Amino acid sequence: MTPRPVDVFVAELVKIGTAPGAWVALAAAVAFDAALGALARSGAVVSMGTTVSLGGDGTLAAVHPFVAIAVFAAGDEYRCGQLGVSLLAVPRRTRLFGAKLAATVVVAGVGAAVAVLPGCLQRPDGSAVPRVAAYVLLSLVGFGLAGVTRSVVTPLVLLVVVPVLVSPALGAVFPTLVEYFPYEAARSMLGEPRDVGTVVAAGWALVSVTAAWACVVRRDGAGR
Amino acid sequence: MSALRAELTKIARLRGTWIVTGAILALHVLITVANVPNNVDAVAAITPDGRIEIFAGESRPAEPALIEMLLASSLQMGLFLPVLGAVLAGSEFRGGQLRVSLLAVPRRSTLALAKTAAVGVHLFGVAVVVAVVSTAGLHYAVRNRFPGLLGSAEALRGQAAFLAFAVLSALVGAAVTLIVRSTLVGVLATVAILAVTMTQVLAVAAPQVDAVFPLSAGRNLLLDPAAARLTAGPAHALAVLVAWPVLTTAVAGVLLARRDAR
Repeated sequence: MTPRPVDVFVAELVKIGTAPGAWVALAAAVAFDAALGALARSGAVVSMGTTVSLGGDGTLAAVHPFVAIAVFAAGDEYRCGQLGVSLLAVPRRTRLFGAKLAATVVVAGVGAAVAVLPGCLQRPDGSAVPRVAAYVLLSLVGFGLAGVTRSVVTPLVLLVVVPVLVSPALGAVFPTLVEYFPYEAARSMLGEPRDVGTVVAAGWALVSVTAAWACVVRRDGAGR
Repeated sequence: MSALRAELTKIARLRGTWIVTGAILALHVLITVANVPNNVDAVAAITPDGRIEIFAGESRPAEPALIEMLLASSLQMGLFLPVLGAVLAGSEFRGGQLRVSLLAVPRRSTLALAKTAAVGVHLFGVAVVVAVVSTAGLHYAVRNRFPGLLGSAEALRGQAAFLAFAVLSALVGAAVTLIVRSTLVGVLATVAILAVTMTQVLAVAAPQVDAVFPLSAGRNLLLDPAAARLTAGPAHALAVLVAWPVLTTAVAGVLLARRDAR
């Protein structure tokens, strides 16, 4: 008997919701964003001039813990052969992948709305919608990377190390190139004009998720 | 000695070692090559009284400024080495590999020492390559104007300080990973320690606190106090740089000796 798509979707929601890591990541993102919002409101950051990028209004730093939710959703199945069990229950791989993707988008959307709330209440501009969209798109980039690399470590390390260490180093020489990196594109969605950043971030999400789909469909189900 | 050799073999056979090492060195070569035209222009524009403008509007005596630029370009890559240290140290916590290692080397302090030494050897090699690439990039720009600059005592002292910073600070990443027993948490903790100081929030708000972080100690040790805003002197910086790996490695060694081997 083939399970109905809605059942597969609910099963994926349960998997995400019962992983302790997802709740820890959400709590960390809320706390981090609240702290950054307080820092921005206090004006301490503005007075330091351009040397500080972390606490400014244009910051998206709290997304770093947040993407772990999507990365765990996609990458946790590759530990201990869990994917094989999931494929036994849902043999159609595209259906399994689609349900996982849909569940991740829903969780990331709802989670992002919660995660940006404390910061948005404190920031003067306060607009939450582009921030939520940036969170969801970066989550999808992480989701796809986890599917491709079959790991939670590599995508999380890449998503943190590239914006924190690689971009400042590379940006000094190739400032335009760095603007097209996922984190920088998503961050530019917070200010005007936001259309280019939105298209670039959505492009990264699309490429990453498509690559993950191709890997899930073609590779050995044992997760090797 | 054979424990050390075994640890070096493990590091050399690990795919992650070469991916991360290759990525760091490739990034450094890319940035160094891309900077060569800027450096050639800056050297060509040195004024008759020997002042250079590396950053727009900042005119400084050329020779110390060039040496500082050399060290700053190496220092920038030195930030990545703690991440490499974490990757090297974290490889045995998957699949129960550590139990097998302890079966071969039951004395845990020996294993901890051998592991730290092997990571240090690999990190030293990478740091030397980073320094060589930085030096080659700058050599191309200054070879006609200052042929002896890169061999001067000042430059060599700076290079030695960079190597010390690079290895000592990266060993912290390895020790933190041994303490938390996870590459992911080790890397993220390492990046968090770096990010705290990279934003320079502490340097402005609480310079004494800033000075006890390893990256700030590296800046304090390598950069020119006349040009950069530093938070402590070189002796303090060196003490901080030695204290971090010694303390974290000691904690990692004690925990490795006392905890269940997982």
